Amino acid sequence: MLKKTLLILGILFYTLSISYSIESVPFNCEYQQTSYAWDTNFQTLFSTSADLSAQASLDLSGYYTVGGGYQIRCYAQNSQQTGFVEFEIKDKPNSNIVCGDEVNEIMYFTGEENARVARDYNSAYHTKVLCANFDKSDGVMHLVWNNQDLSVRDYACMFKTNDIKNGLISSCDANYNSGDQYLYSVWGILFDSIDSLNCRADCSSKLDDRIYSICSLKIKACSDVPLDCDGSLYGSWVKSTDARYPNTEIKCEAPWNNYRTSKFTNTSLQVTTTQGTCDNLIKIEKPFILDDEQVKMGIYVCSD
Amino acid sequence: MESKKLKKNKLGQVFSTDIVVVIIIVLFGAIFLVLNQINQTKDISPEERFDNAQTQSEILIGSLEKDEIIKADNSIDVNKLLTLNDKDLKEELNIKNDFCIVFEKDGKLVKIDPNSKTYGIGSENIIVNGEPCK
Repeated sequence: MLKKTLLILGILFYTLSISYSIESVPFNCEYQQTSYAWDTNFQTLFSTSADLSAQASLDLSGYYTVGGGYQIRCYAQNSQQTGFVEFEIKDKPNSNIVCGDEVNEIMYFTGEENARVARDYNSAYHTKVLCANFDKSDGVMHLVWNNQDLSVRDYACMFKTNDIKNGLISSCDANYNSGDQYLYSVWGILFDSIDSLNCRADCSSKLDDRIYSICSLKIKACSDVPLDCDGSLYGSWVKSTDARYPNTEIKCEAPWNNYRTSKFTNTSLQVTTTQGTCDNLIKIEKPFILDDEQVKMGIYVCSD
Repeated sequence: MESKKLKKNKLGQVFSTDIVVVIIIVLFGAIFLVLNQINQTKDISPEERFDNAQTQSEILIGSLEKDEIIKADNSIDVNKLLTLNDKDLKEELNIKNDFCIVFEKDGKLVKIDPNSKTYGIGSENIIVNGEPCK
């Protein structure tokens, strides 16, 4: 009797541990000079001339690989942890899938040298594709192109870009003179399998209520998820990078077209008092989350 | 008879002068004490002011948590926050000083409700980026 109870409890515990965690496998990227002391498990994706506003070179044996060039390399172990995901540049003369599968085609380029990067393929501009070669049984790579900080959720930052259709490339820790020059960071994570995400019909995961565009592998409608909503809580408002709706936020729920004026500004916070009402205005601040963004709440107290 | 009357008057004069001097000294003393007390009230140290402000902000945060404006996951319910009335809150929490709740990200203003130009919740004597707190 005791054995049976223990067995049932064991099965229950195992089931619960599977159901309530998103399984991801090690994935990490670096944007460093070619001469950097790279870990041998990191594989080169492509090269660039600099770590700020650079074009890409896909010829790994030539241009940018010597001297002051930079490279983006990633370390991606497969779900069985028996090998590593291989990255490969291939010609893409038309819309035919040239990598193993649709999900293996992770980004597109305008050429071999001085190339610009894009999230989606456009046969008019793109001639090269970056493949992430692994079997579906080895995992699913999810790339997110948006302006959120996903590092807290174990996503690895690959690089920054100013445009998802025709982008220049910068390293993830690049600093710009003007704040909004580079809107997008490209984040990557490697899931065990699409089933481990437990996608709902509304494109959110049952495990963390966040939206995953990659649920489109199971639910076709999820290909409509705006990139700003990828990784956000279902129903939350997030800053929109859609040029058609400047300075707005989008509501991350179907039908994905509800916009409002943005709460987040580029104006420095300035607090004063009406004349003669307070000589000692003291600020106490604490961190909180507002619309899925880490913000500081300041309480200004007139302590006269 | 005459000399007895004179002596009585002289004694009366001396007595009244003494009383006047004493009264003046006592008055000066009292004024000094009152002024000293007032000065002491005004000379609160910056540390004390900060402590007062901190205590008040903690009371406010506690109230926001109780009303689930600050939720268990540390997120803010903006719709509930917008329903706050600073006068009612001050009365309920027995807070005497003016306050204003604002939000910022990387030093930049976060508008609580951009449509109604609500940039801060609290006393209208405090101005946030040109708009009084509401």
